[in-house]
Amino acid sequence: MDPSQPGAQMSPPGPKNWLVESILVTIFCCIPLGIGGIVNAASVNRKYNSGDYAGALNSSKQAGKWTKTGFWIGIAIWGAYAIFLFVNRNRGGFGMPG
Amino acid sequence: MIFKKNLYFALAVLVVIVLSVIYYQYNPAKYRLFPKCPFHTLTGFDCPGCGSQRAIYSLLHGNLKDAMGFNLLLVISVPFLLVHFSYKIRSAILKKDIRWDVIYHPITPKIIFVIVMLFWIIRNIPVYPFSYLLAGH
Repeated sequence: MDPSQPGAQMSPPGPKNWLVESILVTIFCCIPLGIGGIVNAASVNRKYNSGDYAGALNSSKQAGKWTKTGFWIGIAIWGAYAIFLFVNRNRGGFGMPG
Repeated sequence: MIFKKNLYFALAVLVVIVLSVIYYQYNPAKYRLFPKCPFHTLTGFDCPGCGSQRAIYSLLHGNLKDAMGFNLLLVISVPFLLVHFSYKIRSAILKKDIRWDVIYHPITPKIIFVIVMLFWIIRNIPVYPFSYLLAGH
């Protein structure tokens, strides 16, 4: 298969890099935690590409840690926000269509 | 391990469904229930994410042109997200780790970083055609 075509080639097993997930955490929750995830995700790709599999695995674990922390904090923040809106629903918390 | 994976998956699907209903039902431009961008509130400039909520509302109503006017970067990122998560779903169904090479290329994070930074700067230049990128111009 043509390796230049995205997805056409099956990758050899390597650690998960968490890149997309950490970007989503950056956008929807916590910029510092997301950046931590992205930096480690980038280093998973770099290390895996240069043959440093142990290093890539380590970076993958770090990236996962940042991202999962951000994920749960995000759930908590958005949950709290939803509760806040619900509690204040009769005091203009939802706002009016303008 | 499997249970944990399923938990994340179920939670993610639930969140996506709930948010889709909210963003379909309520126009973020008209309701106060949607959070405002702190960067925009403080500085008056658009951040790279500004306009995303209005863009999602427009996309859910099939209005691509409006969505692009609110946040072009978000609209461009949607196909990438769909491909990424289609790989995830296929991996789960086939019980085999299939991956999208693009996400695993060493240059990918750098390219994304550069694009986001350029988008941030260019959309705040108050001159046409750059001003097209301003949320809602």
